[in-house]
Amino acid sequence: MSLPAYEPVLLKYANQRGMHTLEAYLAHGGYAAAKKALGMKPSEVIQAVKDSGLRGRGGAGFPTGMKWGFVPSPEKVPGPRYLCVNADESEPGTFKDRYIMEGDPHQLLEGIIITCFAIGSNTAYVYIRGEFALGAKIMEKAIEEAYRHGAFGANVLGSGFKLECTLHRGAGAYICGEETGLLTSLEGGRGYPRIKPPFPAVVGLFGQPTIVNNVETLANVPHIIERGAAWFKAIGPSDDPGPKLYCISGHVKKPGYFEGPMGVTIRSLIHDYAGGMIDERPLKAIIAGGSSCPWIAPDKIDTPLGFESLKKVKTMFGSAGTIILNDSVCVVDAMWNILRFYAHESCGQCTPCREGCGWLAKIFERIEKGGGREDDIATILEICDNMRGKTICVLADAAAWPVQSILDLKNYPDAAVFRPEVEAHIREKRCPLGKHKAVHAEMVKQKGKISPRLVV
Amino acid sequence: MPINFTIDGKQVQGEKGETVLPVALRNNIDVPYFCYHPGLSLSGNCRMCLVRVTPAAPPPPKPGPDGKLPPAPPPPRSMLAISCMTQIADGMTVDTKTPDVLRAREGVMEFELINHPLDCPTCDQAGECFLQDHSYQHGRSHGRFYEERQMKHTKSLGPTISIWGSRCIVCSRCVRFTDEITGTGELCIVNRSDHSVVDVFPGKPLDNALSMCAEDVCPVGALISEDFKFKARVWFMKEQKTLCAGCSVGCNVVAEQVNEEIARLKPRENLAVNDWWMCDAGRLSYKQHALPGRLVEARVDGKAVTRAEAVLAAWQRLSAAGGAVAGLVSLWNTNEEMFLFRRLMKLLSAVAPMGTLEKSHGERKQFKGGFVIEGDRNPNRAGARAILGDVALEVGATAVRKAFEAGTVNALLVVSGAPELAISPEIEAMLARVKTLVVLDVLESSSAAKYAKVRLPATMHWEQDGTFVNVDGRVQRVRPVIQPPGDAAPALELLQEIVNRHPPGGSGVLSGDGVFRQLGAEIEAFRELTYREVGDLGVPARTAAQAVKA
Amino acid sequence: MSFTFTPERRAKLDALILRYPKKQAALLPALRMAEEQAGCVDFDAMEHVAEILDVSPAKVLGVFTFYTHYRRPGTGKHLVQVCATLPCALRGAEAVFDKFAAELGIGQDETTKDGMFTLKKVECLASCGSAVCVQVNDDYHENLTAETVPDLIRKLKESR
Ligand SMILES: Cc1cc2nc3c(=O)[nH]c(=O)nc-3n(C[C@H](O)[C@H](O)[C@H](O)COP(=O)(O)O)c2cc1C
Ligand code: SF4
Ligand code: SF4
Ligand code: SF4
Ligand code: FES
Ligand code: FES
Repeated sequence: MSLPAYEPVLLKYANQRGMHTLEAYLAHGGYAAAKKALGMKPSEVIQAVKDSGLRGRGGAGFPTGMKWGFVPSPEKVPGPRYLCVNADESEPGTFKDRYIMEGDPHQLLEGIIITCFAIGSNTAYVYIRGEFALGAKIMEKAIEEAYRHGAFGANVLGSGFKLECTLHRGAGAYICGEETGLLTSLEGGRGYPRIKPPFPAVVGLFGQPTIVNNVETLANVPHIIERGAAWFKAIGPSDDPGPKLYCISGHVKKPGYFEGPMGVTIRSLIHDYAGGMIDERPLKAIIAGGSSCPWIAPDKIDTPLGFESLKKVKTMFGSAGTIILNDSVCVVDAMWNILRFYAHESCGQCTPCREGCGWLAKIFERIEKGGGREDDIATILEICDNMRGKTICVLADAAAWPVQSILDLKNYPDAAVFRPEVEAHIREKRCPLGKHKAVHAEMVKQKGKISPRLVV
Repeated sequence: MPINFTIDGKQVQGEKGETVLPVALRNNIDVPYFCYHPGLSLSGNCRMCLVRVTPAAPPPPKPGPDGKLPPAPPPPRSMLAISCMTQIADGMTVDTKTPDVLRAREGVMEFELINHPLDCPTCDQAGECFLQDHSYQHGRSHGRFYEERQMKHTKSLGPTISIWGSRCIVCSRCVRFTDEITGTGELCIVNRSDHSVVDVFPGKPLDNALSMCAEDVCPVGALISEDFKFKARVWFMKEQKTLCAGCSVGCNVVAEQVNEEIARLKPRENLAVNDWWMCDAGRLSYKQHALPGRLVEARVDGKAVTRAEAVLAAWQRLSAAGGAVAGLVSLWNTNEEMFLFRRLMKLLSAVAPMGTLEKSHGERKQFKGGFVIEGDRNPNRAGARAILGDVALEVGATAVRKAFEAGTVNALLVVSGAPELAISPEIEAMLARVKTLVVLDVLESSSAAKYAKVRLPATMHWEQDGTFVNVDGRVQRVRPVIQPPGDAAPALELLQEIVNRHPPGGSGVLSGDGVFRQLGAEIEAFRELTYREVGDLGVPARTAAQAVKA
Repeated sequence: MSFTFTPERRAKLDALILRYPKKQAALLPALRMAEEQAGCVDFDAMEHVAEILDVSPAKVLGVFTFYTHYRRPGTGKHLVQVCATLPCALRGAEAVFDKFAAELGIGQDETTKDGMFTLKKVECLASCGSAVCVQVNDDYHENLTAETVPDLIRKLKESR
């Protein structure tokens, strides 16, 4: 197998040292797309993005142009509009937006200008996760440069369009990546997601129409304007097109982020981009698009990575964070890890999510440590059922999906591959792979606290 | 324009802007909930009130200009949604009892309980706990949580309220209460995920004039009132709907008693008066009934006598004054009592000066959510105005004193149901010196009781029937919560008994309602009103509120 | 001990507040500035921020405790945050963490006696392609293994 012929778009300059400055950006023709867009009608810009087929790169894969189109007209809803750039990048396995911001921030800023112009917003906030201290510093600097260049401010690039852009640092909370959690956090609150509808495009930041877009999504926008929707649509599958940043982590030789056309197969990602499996050990499981995606079995390795193609194998492309697990992985141990994440990151508003995530994590820990019970799998699946589709945001679903994908034979055929290992844990009352000692019985003895309890 | 839709096949109606849950509750359709509170903003986070919602079917397609029918729109998709936040719409269908709804509820209940301690036997909320109620109806029969429970802090949040954190279901009602109603913002939820629990900022306790309402809004036993802690099991208590008399608002309350002791007051919803709230001072005002030194026996010239003897003595001495009489009544007495007081005075003399006694004013306080504590700390000023008139109310007490000082009055009747009145030195001097002083009062320490020649033990509003008129001119009921102590009896009865001594002799003693009807026949403000009509929530006085309020 | 922003920081914050239609929106950045100034966010700082932004101190406390990335009082000079999420775990995060614990003689959420190091396990730092990732204060240290931990500790110690 060999790599498809592909000239990087998003990472063309980002991966070169020193290309994060305004000077460098201008030298290769930067801000020309913004100038071009400012000469168009906003509706034409939206149409171009619609025509391009660009879908959001933040997780849900929602068509970007269509989302912009949901912003009501000023006659219907007067007052300011906002653009919030989702730079919270925190889905485990995802690490792409960071490199755009650190390596080529003006590309993002140009996308912001065009988007704001298209949706009629004079204010943009970039919500960057708190851990990205370096990214924040670089972005801060780039925004300053852009102001000095006149790309932000009262008269953007001489067009008369007004745009203020502010970097806003988060402080450590995955849920602030969820678009409405981001809004509450930006307003200075606990990052509690909000009930939809109303959607942010209608009632968003400070109660005004707001578009939330991912960093990578926006980085695509200048290129669409510059080179045209047809060019964009010709990259990768036509129903799911465009340049794409792939993240691959786990048991591969050269983990990292790569750019390619949409629709690169998992096999190609592992072997052509990431140098193959570590020690050539066999593949055990694929998490295609970040830790909340349902797992798929090794036989799905030839599936192209894309929003549509992965749906067909009962998983998702999410945020393109592909995690590769080899045969050394204990399914129960890995799932416990994933659940710990969600239990830690649940915002705690909704009862099913607040209590369910922690409960699932505790059950997986117990199974892993030799305390599995025969009724555990049935209980787990019921808990998942009681979490999914019953909460304010989909974090609860995101915690339940991977669990269901390894246990729920009815809805996830690949569960047949993973479930026997969980059953073995329960049957043998230990981890067959020896990842953890079977200490549960001892723990119970010592604590004397753990006991079944009756509901009042 | 009312909105018509169905819940469980039943046709119901609501107003535009309403959500499903309140409409369901109004129609006696049971939908369990935790975080919803009609007086607070919606948070929609407990997920208990999930129901199945099917939007109205779109209208059938109309033929286009070409005469052809466009393809029929897809049928509306039904989905689980929280009823507390789902806006009602014409033609929508709501199901509250489908198997998936019941399963979802059972799931939420199970989640609420896995980390919940087994405290019911010692929890003060037991018996009135949303968790207990709902788990009985919607819960699983057995537990399957084999893990260690998450523990959270137990601590004092302020002078009136403590939190048992492990019982907290993070519904955020209490936080919304301090944010939206009091505007004091002392409470917050700290931490995230299943460590979330309610707390205060160190050194900034929950301390405001409505703080104890936080306990009411807590649907479980997480917030516990220091005053009520471990006092009584709620199922042993008897309740009565009555009023707080702490100020002229007249908050509607439920008073609960065990063994003839009032154990607590809780605000009772009345959107025309106090919404769902009451102030802490008012809530603790029940303690008045057990103040030391309650009058419990009748006395004439310091000697204990029977009630009948004292009543007779009262009539004889007052009528013996040959019209040189005057009277004072407290603004804590009911309309019925004021009316009887007036009747008695008129019997004794057509020109008898009448005045009122009152508790001194406090500070008026208005809160962010609109709730007001009135500065007038008397429950029935407006009643006095309607029955005794402006003159008696404004300058009556002075007129009585002047008449006494001028020598035209040598017999005085004082009627009071108040725990403490502001008595000026001049009035005090008059009470000490007047030849005949007949007093119906409640505490030994009161100036009137001290100097009384004829003294009849009367009742506080906790022990009797009657009505007050509040600051907005609303006529509201008080009802007896407990028995009067000793020989004490409501002035309602005592005054009738005294009046009945007037030849040709009375015809028995009417109940509160009976007197109220007489009042209605005579006084415009109460025209044709009855207790039934006043009901639990009261009614505006017939005369314009403005006239009553003045 | 009370906390007040330095005049420069206060001016910066005042300017930042103007970039939002509502004052309270500057809450997260304000706490960050307090952290910058004092090395951690304590109750005094929260109260100061509450006063500036016209919100109750409890509101600030609720927000502060929601986020895990602010430094709490008592944090060591070097806050070592080992990513323990799946992609890092697959590449030996547990061993890296254990190595830190052994070398520093402290466990999770503990601080060395000399106040130099605090050790924490954290969730994904968005550096999964260069696992294992450890954030020390603001800086990412990537591609760590148990073997390279002692070297990093030495460098941190040398950085004064
Ligand atoms: C729990 C959760 C976490 C999310 N985290 C992120 C994130 O870190 N970054 C991101 O861009 N989108 C994230 N999303 C998706 C956003 O909600 C939103 O869909 C996205 O920012 C929209 O941008 P796009 O249309 O450009 O993809 C998350 C969603 C959920 C439910
Ligand atoms: S689903 Fe979980 S993370 Fe999302 S709002 Fe509810 S509790 Fe918060
Ligand atoms: S203390 Fe009570 S009212 Fe407050 S959040 Fe907890 S359960 Fe709700
Ligand atoms: S506001 Fe007035 S009537 Fe209401 S509880 Fe307080 S004192 Fe009683
Ligand atoms: S009552 Fe809590 S979600 Fe509706
Ligand atoms: S899992 Fe460690 S950085 Fe993502």
